Order: sequence, then C-alpha cells, then structure tokens
Amino acid sequence: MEFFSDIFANLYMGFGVAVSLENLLYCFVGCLLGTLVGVLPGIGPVAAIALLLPTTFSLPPVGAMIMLAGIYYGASYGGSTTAVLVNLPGESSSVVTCLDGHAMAKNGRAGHALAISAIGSFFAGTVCTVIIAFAAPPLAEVALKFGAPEYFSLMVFGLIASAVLARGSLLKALGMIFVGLLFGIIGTDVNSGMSRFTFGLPGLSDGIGFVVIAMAFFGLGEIIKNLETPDDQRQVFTDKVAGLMPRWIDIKDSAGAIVRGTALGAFFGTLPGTGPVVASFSSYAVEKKVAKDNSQFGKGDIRGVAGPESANNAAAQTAFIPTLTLGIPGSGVMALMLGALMIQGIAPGPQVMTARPDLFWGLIASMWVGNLMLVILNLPLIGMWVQLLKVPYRMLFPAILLFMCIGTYSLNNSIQDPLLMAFFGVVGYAFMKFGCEAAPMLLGFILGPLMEENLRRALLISRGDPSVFFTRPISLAFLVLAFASLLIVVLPAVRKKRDEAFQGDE
Amino acid sequence: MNTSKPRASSSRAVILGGACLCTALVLPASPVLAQSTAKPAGEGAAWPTRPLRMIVASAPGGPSDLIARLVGPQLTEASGQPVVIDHRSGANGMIAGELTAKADPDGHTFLLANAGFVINSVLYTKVPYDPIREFTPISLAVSVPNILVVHPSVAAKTVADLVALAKAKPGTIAVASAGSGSSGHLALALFQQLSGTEMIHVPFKGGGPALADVMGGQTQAIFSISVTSHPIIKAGRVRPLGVTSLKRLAAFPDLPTISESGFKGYEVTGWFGFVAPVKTPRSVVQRLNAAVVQSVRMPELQERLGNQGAELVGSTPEAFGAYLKSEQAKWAKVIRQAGIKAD
Amino acid sequence: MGSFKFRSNHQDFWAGVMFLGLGILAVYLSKDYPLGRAMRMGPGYFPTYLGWGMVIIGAIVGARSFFKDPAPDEVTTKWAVVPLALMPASVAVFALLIDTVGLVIAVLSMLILANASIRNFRPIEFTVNFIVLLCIAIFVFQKGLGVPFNTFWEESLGKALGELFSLVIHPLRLMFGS
Repeated sequence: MEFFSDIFANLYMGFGVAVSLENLLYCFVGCLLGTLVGVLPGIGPVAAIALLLPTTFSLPPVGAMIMLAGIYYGASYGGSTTAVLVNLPGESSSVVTCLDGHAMAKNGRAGHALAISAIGSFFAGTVCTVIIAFAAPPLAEVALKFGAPEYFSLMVFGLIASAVLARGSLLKALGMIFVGLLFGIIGTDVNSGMSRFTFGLPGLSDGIGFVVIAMAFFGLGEIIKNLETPDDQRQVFTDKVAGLMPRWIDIKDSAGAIVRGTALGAFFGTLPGTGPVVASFSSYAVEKKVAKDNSQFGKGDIRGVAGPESANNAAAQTAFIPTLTLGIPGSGVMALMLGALMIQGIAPGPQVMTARPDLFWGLIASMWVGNLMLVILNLPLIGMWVQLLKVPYRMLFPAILLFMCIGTYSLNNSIQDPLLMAFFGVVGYAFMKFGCEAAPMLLGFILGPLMEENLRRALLISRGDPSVFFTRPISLAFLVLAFASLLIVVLPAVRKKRDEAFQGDE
Repeated sequence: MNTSKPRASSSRAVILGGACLCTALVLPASPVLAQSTAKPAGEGAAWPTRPLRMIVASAPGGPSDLIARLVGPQLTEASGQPVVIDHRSGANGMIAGELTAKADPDGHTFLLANAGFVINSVLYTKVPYDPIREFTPISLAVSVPNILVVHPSVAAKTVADLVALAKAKPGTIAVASAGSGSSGHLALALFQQLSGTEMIHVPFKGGGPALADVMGGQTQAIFSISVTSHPIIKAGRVRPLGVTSLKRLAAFPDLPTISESGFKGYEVTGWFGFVAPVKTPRSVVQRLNAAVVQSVRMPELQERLGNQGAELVGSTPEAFGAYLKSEQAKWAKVIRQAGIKAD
Repeated sequence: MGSFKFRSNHQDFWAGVMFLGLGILAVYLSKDYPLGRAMRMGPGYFPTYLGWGMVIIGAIVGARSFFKDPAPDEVTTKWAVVPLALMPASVAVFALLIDTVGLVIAVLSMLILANASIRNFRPIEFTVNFIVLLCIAIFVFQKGLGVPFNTFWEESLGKALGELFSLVIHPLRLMFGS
C-alpha cells in the first residue's frame, strides 16, 4: 500500500509542477512547434529537437524538458500527418501508417485517419504515463536483460512478422526483405570496421539514411505513379470527402486495435534502438491476422492506422524509461534529451529520480498533459490538413518534391542524400511496377544491419557457440514466436493453394 | 468528376502558402541565427566579419555536440559574432575533417575535433586529410579520460585482479567498446599489450549501448569515457577499477589510475579541441585561442563537465600542436602492434 | 518491357530478374570481404549468403512466372517514362545547383523540370507556386530552421567574383591609376 501511496504523492507533486501556468505554456509551445516542424517532410523528431534545442536554453530545467518532450510528441505526430496526407514517412515508425493511412486519404477519409491516430495516440499516451509512473525501474531491468542473442532473435521475429504486411505474393515479399537487408549492409561493418558496398564514396560509409530510402520508395515512387495518368484524367484524391471526425463505428472497430497496439508499443518501446519500429510493424501484423475480414488492409482499413499509431506513440513514451532510470539513451532523440539535461547542469543518470524528484515526476505528469494538448491542438488542425489535399495535384506534387529535396539535403547538409533519393526513386518505381511492395523492404533495411550485428556479437561473446540462442529464455521465446508467425503466414497460403487445386479438379 | 478547377486553384495555393507561412512566423528565430551587432574590428585582420561556423564531427546528441553547444555561446560572447554549429557526422568524422581542411582559411570556419581526428589518420588507409599538415591547432579544450569499469558480478576489485582473471582464463572476458577504432577500443588494445592478456573485444555502435550491455552483465567490462560512466558508477551499477589518465580524477579521488596500478605510463584520454585550416592567419588563431581559453574557464563549464570527470584544459596552440603529434605517433604504434585494421 | 508470345506473368518475371541480378551483384561485390566461418563470421559472410539467397528467390520467382497467368492489373503496367525521367532529374538538378548558385535558381530549375511533365502549362499557377514555395524554403527552412542554404550565390559565386576582381580588375585599376 505504501508503494501506491508514495506514487500517488509523487504524481500529485508532478502534476503540481506540470500544471503551473508557465509549464503548461512551455508544453503547448513545444507541441505546437513540434507539430509544425514535424509535418515538414524529412524533418523527423530528431531533427526537430536538434533544431529547436537552442530555444530551450534560456528556460529553467523543468520547463526546458517539458518543452522538449512536447516537441518530441508534436514532431512524432506531425510525421504521421505527413505519412497520411502525402505518403512520406518522416521516421521509421510511420512507414506502416503510410500503408493504410494514405490509402484512406485517397478514399477521402484523411480526416478519419488523422483523428483515429490522435485518439489512439492519446489513449496509448495515457496508459504509458501510468506504466512509467508505476513500473519504470523494473521495466528498465527487463530491458537490460536484452543482450546480443535476445536482440538477434527479436530481429528474426520482426522480419518474419513483416512478411504478413505483404498483400501479394509471399515469395516476392521475402525477396523484398532480402533487398532491404542488402541495402542495409551498405556502410561500415560494426564488428570489423570494414566498409562494405560503399564504392569508395566516403559519404556512404555510414550507410544510406532511412529517410532517403523511405522517401525514394514511398514519396518519389508514388509521385511518378500518380503522374502515369494524364493531367486531365487524374484523380489522386477523391472528391467525396467523408466527414472529418470518425464515425462511431470507426471508433468501435479501432478500439481493439488501439488496446493491442498500446500493449505492444509499451513493451517494445523500452528496448533501445528498434522499439518503435518493431512495435508499429508487429501491431499491423497482429491486426491483419486478428481481423475477421482483412481484405481491406492496405486499401484503407482504419484498424491498420489505429493499431500501429497507438503502438508507435506508446513506444515513444516508454522509450523514456531506460533514459530516465538508467541514463542510457535508447535513440537519437533520447541522446539529445540527455544532452539538454547536461546543458541545464543536471547529470543524467539513475540518481535523477531521487536527486531531482520535481524534474522526474514533473516530466512524467507533463507527458500526459502533452498528450492531451496534442489531441486538443490537432483535432482542429485536421480540417486544415485535409484542405491541403484540395490543392490540385499538378501544384501539390512539385511542392512535395521540393520538400523532399530540402528534407534530404538537411539530413547531413549534403547534396549526396537528394542524389541518392533520385537514384533509389527509379529503383523503387521499378519494383512497384514488378508488383513488389516497399514496406517489407524497409523493415529489412532497418532490422537487417541490427540482425547481423547482434548475430555476430552473440557468437563473438559465446565464442562460437550457437546454443546461446536456445538456452537463454527470452531469446528462445522470440524464436518460438517467430516460428509460430511463420506458420501463421505459410499455412493459409498452403491451404489456399490446396483449395485452388481441388477446385481445379472439379 | 471534374478534378481540375483552375479557378479555385490559386486560392488553394494561398491556403497552402498561408499555412506554411504561419509556420515561419511562429517559429522564433533561433539564437544561433539572431543578428548581433559586429564589434568594431580590432587591430590587424578584420575578424570576425560574419557568423563563425563551428564544424562538429558527429551527429547531434553525444559528447561532441554537448561541448559544442556549451562552448558555442561563450565563443559568441567572446567574438561578438554568432556561432553556427554545423554537424557533419559521417565516415568517423573524416567528412568533417575534409570539409574543414578545404574551407576558407580566414578564421570563420573551424573544427571541433575529437580523438578520432588523429586516430583516423593512422587507422584508415585512405584518409582525405592530414591532421598535422593541413590544420593549424587552436586549443585543446576538454580532455576526457576513460574509466575501466566492470559488471559487479565480475570477481575483480582492482586492475591487478582483472589481469589475474584474464591470465587464468585467456580469451573469456568480453570487453565492450563504442566501436572499432574508438578510444575505448584503443585503450583496451594498449592495456592488453602492456599486461600481456587476451580478452574479447566487442564493438558496439556508440558508447551508450556498449555501457548498457555491461550494466546488464552481457559483457564484463568496458573502458568508458568518464562523462558517460560517471552517473552509472555513482549509482553503483558498475564497479570502477581504474582511470586511464595519469592523474586521478577530482570526481573520484579514491579511484587509482591504471598507471599507478602497475602499468606505468599507461594513458589514454579522449579529447575535444579546436583546429582551423592550415593557412588561417596567425593573429586570428591567437584570437580564437583566447576566446576558447576564456570559454573553457567559465564556471558553468566547470560545473557541467568538470564535476563529471572531464578536465577543462584550454592549452596554447603550440602545446596542442605538440599533443596532436605525440598522439599520432603513439596510436600508430599501438594500432600496428595490435594489428587493428580498417578501410 | 519485353513482350513474350507465350502466357506468362511479366511482373513476376522481371521481379525475379531484379532479385537475381541484385543477388549476383551482392555475391560479386562481397568477394573481397573476408568470409570467416559460421561461428566467427567475417564481414563477407552475411552479404555473400544473402546474395545467394536472393539468387535462389529470384530464380524461383522468375521460373514460376511462366506458369502463372498475367496479373489482373498487367494492363496498367505501362511505364510512365516521362515522369520517371523528369522527377528524379528535377531532384538531381536541385541537388547539383543548391550549393553553387543558391536556393532561388535551384528551386526555379527544379520546378521547371517537374512541371515539364504537365501537358497544359499554366504560367500563372506556376508563378504562384514558385513564389509560395520559394518563400517557404527561405522563411521556414533557411531562416527558421537554419538549413545552411545560400539564397543566391553569395559565398561561392561571390568568392569567384572576388577572385576575378583581385586577379584582373584590381591590377587593371592599379595600372590605370584610378
């Protein structure tokens, strides 16, 4: 009982800090700036925080952290907005949102997609705030249990789950995963320090940026495809725009997806590095398998937006756990947050919780306030975003193209990234024409290097003994899950084949 | 049906433009870009005449970024011109090095270099710059030693214990590092050479994940830079065995150096210092040096970095130049002996 | 693309060719990287076997295409050659111009190329689009977010003109004593 009363006392103190007029203002400004910068294609949360960090220097530490957290949520949500509206994933976790979100936008349901994403995110944010308040330290310990074998098995699971994303042929999806793995290898090998597939270009030694590949395959490919139809016959977005707010049936349909997505996101978010990506992809895979009628997935099923968006926001939230309790940043965003703490004169680390309880609990309370503010801010903005789609496509696409140019340029302030995007845009269009989907490729691209890195690291530490993958319980659990998902993916395909064969006999 | 409505299109374009212009208006001009009145040029060359560009050899987040953001405002104050921080991560900092080497040598562009700046030149076969011949040193700003830490389950309380353990079972202790060719990796290589031990080097992508791996007990030890490991040690999550500088750290006065633990002269420190293109005028280098020295002496920096185990230096250009040369010679030898290769 | 007289699935055939080609490329490029052993992999191990995996998948996908009916949307697989050339080209032009002649000309050139794919060119729309987008690029990205663009050619071309001045005009002025 004492445990709970302590936490309530702490949360009360936290809300006392967060709900001060001043901090509410910082939170609001952060969310607003984050959203506005985050909707710019190519400017993801990391870039948004890096760019806006100097504006927080003059604030007191608590206010600065609250504003930065607001920028982070805002930018994450802004990225989803761009994914829905113009099919440009600004960060890895919004790739999945593109699949059904943009399809919904084309069907005139952009408002529904954006609203359900805001509602799902708010639910996920609320749940995860509670989780962080009650269970941050034990969850951080779980995250530390993940060594190289566990990460490897997790990646195997993630890649197999991604095959579920495929709409068409399973074999071609597998091929695309391999293509992604191959693109992911480009760059310096972590284990040996050797450059691979860089063709002697120093700019390739860190690999190709995710944003470059995602914009090429999704953004540029989509534009070229839309331009296939001559100007006077083209209708990219339907004229019939359904209402902005989702209908009751949409919310009822999405409720299960939101809850499941939140659970997946809350768990995977605590794992440094890959959390949000694996969370959103696995949520999509789960929804597609759970749905009684999954024929609309990929063509604009609201559950395909609600689940992954909740998962990705939940993960964005629980990503704070290792950062706050251990002082170990799990992602670029968290590294920047820790840097901001140090600039404010606070040594990040396990002792922040006890040494600066106002900061720790104030931040946790402000997470919830930030999520609330995001909903309040964004529901009215949806109307404005949807208006953008009424701009004739012949004027919209040059704008998207320019944003993609500037976005990729600003990644490293280098012209190499837009040039690479142009090249991969052609490759992406070709694959699209051959009926190969981009989503499995992107997951292979993200997870592949991590899979190889952890496989080799695990064998290095175990001195070449592969039994580590099966003797460590968490690793074994993921491998079993991976095998189970493989069966789920393969069995229906086999059954369908058999049915077809029988029909052929008749 | 009729999708193209030229009549309405321009008004829609205004909506689009208006929406985005609002973005522009709401965004406050960041301080970096704020116009400041240039101070009248002193005697000698007119410097600075426009914003200064500090190239940083890493992505935002992490120690280089932190130091850049802390020193930047101080430099602004000292020079009277805003300092634009330009992150050019990539190729282990070699892209930033090449860019600086080729920049105008007028004192408006300089590089916040780190230990990798010199290590690269002996580690890689193809390096696009020469750290000694193509640069003029300004000042060594901050020196950051590594601390050798182990997971609490490791049965070693001192450096000697660890060596004994490694000798009893060669090739079993896994030592994490921030990456191939990082200062932690070289610290391990030199340690193995001096102690005659054999351990497994496990490179990671960055110091954070590597330290987390040791905290979780997946790997047993790491030479981790003091600023990163300081809070983790204080919280008792890892056990410190020794520090890689020649002097003990103010933050851990009871922690012996590795040099005094039986490996005399063992020294591996990460560092952050400023260099400019080689032809930068002497007078400008002096003024940049004065600005850097002044900024590292600020009490804020002492509070933010000094208490975390970093040493604020602020050396003369000559001393920094000599340091760069000695570092290069030292690492060339260690890398050759350890057979570390990269290309 | 290629037209086969017999019944086949073009999409799958060419997908197979792509996989096969990339697989062979991967195997070929990995030949210089140390392979290592399964238990102690070198940097070449993963890409080499990945490449062989792609060769196998490519071969199966390609071979199966001959026994499959054309995909239902095969009619729409006509390639949009003009946009396919123009869109990447406009991105490339922006990239190649931005560091030298600056934002204004880079954006203008990019937009001209992008709009070249439109059948009915509308000058007023184009001008409005150009001005609005340029304003966004300057006020949001360059000024607001600090992306280091030159608006025109201040630094690079200015430097070139400066050099011209010091090399040619300045000596001339000295000669003629003005």
